[in-house]
Amino acid sequence: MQTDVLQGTLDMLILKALSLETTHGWGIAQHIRRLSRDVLQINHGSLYPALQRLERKGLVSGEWGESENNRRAKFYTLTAAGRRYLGSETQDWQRFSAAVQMVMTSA
Amino acid sequence: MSLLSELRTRARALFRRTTVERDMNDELRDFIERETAQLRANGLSHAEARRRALAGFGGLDRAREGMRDERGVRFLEDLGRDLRLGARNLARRPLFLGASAITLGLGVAVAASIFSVVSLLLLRPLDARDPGQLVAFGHNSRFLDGPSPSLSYPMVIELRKLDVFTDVFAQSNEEIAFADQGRDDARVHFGNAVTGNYFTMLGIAPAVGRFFTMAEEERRESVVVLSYQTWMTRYAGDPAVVGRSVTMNGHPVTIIGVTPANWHGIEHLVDAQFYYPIVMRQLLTGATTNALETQSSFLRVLARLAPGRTLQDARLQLDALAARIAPERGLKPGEFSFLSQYENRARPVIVISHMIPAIAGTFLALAVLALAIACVNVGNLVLARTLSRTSELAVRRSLGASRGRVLRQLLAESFLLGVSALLVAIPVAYGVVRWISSLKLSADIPLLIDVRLDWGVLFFAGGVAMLAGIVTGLVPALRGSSDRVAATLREDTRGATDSRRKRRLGAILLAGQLAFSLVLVIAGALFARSLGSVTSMDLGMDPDRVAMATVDLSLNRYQAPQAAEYFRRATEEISVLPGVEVVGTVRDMPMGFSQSFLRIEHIDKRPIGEAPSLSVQFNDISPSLMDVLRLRLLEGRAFDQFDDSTAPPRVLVNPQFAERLWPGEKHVVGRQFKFTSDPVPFEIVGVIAGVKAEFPTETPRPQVFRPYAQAGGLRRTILARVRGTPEEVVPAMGRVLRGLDPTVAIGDLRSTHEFLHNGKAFFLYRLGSTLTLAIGVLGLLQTLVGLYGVIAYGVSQRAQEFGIRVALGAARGQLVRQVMGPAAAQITVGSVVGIVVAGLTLPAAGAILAVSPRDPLTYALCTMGLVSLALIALYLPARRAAGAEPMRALRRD
Repeated sequence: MQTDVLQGTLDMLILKALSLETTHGWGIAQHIRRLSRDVLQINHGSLYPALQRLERKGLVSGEWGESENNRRAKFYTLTAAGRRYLGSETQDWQRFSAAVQMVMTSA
Repeated sequence: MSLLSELRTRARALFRRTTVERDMNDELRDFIERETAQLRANGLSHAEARRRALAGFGGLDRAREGMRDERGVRFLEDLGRDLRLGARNLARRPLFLGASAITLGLGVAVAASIFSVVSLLLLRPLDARDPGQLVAFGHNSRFLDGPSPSLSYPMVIELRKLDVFTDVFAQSNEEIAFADQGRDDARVHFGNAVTGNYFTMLGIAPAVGRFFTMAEEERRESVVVLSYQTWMTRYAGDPAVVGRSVTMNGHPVTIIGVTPANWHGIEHLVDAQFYYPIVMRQLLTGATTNALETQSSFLRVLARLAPGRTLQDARLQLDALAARIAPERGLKPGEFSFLSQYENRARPVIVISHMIPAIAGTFLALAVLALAIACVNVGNLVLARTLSRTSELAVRRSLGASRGRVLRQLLAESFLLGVSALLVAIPVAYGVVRWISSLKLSADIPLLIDVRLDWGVLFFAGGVAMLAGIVTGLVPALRGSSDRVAATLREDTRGATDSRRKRRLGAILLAGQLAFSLVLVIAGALFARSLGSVTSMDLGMDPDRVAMATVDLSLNRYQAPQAAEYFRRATEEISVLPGVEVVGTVRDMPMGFSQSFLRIEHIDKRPIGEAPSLSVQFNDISPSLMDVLRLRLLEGRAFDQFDDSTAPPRVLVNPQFAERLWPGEKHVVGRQFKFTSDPVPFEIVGVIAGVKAEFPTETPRPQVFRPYAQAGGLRRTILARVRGTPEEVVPAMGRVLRGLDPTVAIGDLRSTHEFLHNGKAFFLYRLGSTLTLAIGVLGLLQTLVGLYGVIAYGVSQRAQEFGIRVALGAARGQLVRQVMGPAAAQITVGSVVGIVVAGLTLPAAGAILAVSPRDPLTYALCTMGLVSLALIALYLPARRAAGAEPMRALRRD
């Protein structure tokens, strides 16, 4: 089963994926799919606007390099600011999901 | 850090747009290639893999738009695109753009120019310190025929004692023979004799050198301050003039400084050429009595209100002062009073300043009118345009453009339109103002019309007009961009005509615009006819084919016998110049700047006692002047050579004089009266039709003419009636006058026709009619361009309809009628409204017109002219409609 990524969590997922390694847009999508064991299917159409947004905010930095077949490809790296942001987002998310968990499993 | 990267991204997005777009596409392609490769590795065919890869995006364009949104420069980018699109849209309709920009630009230019002129008279303060605190004066007394704009020096002394003023200065306008030392080319110059506190009180600083002070006034040193203009034109701005010596009336005087460039004296239409301490006046005029000690009123006076005091406070003190000093002057309290007014409301002189608001109001109303026409006009064009675009807008809405986006598009176009109009308005307004400023009065007095273009007003007027365009464009645009897309599309399908309601608004605007411009044209024509009737008005003399020259020998300190000899010889020598018929002399040239008055003491040896003031205008003439100016003898005899200093004093009078002294009596020849100034009575030997003395429109006043041989006098105007053109004789006259004495200063050396028509006499009428006519013509042009634009645009929009009609066999004449018919009805309505509005509003300007403000002939001619021009403006596009080629029209879309 596949699930669309919740509104607002896409940024967090991208940052998480980039915290593992520097990679290109496709790589990020692959990471998210793999880490969620194919449950989370991000819309490729919203991946790039999100990357653009994160880059503008200085949370990730993009670098043009060469792909394996000698074509131009853009590689993204998590910046220090992005790492700090990811940390606080992760905490918030854990609190939130634990709370939802508690509500949903009570009674 | 974050802010920096934010700025960098945005700047890059804005200025490196192509690179950014290429990067975006490269990135997306990279993704798709990788995804495709992976899917193929999973066993899909290349085509299927690629299809799925693309599908993952849910439309590549959506991703692209999303990325563009995230660049954070969407707003600016859209604005740029709106403006570019707007410019393209406008450029594609040159008729619309041209008509709107011209009509709007002209209206804005007219409004701004008129306002700039009015501002010169009413609003612009003197370039002095705290100009709002300055008060101007005049006075009225039983001895005067009307209020005087001047005070005597003893009155100035009294004013200085009042605590409501911190300071009071006085000046008198003087004619001086001004020459560089060692040169004989003395010319009459106009300068201000001013009290020593003049410059300190006004708080202005010299451009070079220094100004004189109160102390200098007391030391009675002979010094002069040049005006900036004189410094520039006469000495080419050479700073070394300071310390140089010049002669004024033959007297050596030292130049000590130059006024700043923006200072033109306190007279608003005259540019003083130099300033000197008023104590020098007696020295320069060679007068035996010091005018400063007499009661004669010849000073223009300004005072500065003490801090916190108002004009009302000042008036209370002035009334008390008037009551106190009236008895000293042989008057009862109430028979003497001061006039006082803030300086900027006492222009050009305090006694006629009450007329200025009416004149200025008229012109301001015209300015508003011109702007109103511009607004209506552009509103009309924008309306026509927007109506025809309703379907375009609806299509854009249905393609997903947001309502705000569509409105912004329209606003951008209105903005561009306004900018184009300003591009038209700025050069026109600048040119008009330059032209008005360059108007010159053909007289020795340096006329100054220092009009400066009011940029604030120009942009304000432009803004108002732009707003009008936006508002008119917005109403239909709002409807067009509303959610009734489908309905609009249905309603406005190809070739269908607009709904009746939409058309009615256009019709009202058209009629209103026509009415406005008719009012303007009628006003202009009334002024022009005023000028015509003023110039053809009976002045009591025949000034054609007469040459003139004024010589003031008092400037050279002649005594009376020498002066009489000079004028005798001048008359003799000029009489024998080729082309000269007859030569005469006069004391005060009619329609000139000086008039003389005397008070009557006895009538038929009977003292007039307490009768109302009997101050009459007098003039001294040579016997031959009757022939030179063709004065009309009504009764008795004219002067002859026997009326000399040995004969008993005799005078000619005009009928108004006779009626004033002997009401109801038919024959006054042989009657006597006595002036206060002369010991012996005068006997009337004849009655002549009087001469207009100051303005062509003046009501004839009592006048007395004395023979020159009995009067003397050092200043005369010599007039020569010639056979050919006076201009041929003028230079020879100048040579004769200088030949007799190279040091005399000659003034007004020109033809009398020139003196009257380009001089002071007709100047106000000339200025008024030129201005209004220019405004009227611009307004008319505006209207015609607008009318043509609207109709032509309408026709081009309906080209298909006309093509079909022609194809279906409609007669071309019928089509012309069909286009012109409704517009002709609007023209009729507009004309009627215009006539009614003109008839109701123009009488307000009646005081400054020499014809009836409801003159039927003017109204009829203007209306006919406007209607014919309007019909031509209509016919041109109508003919084009009728000439529609069916096939071309149908193939258009």
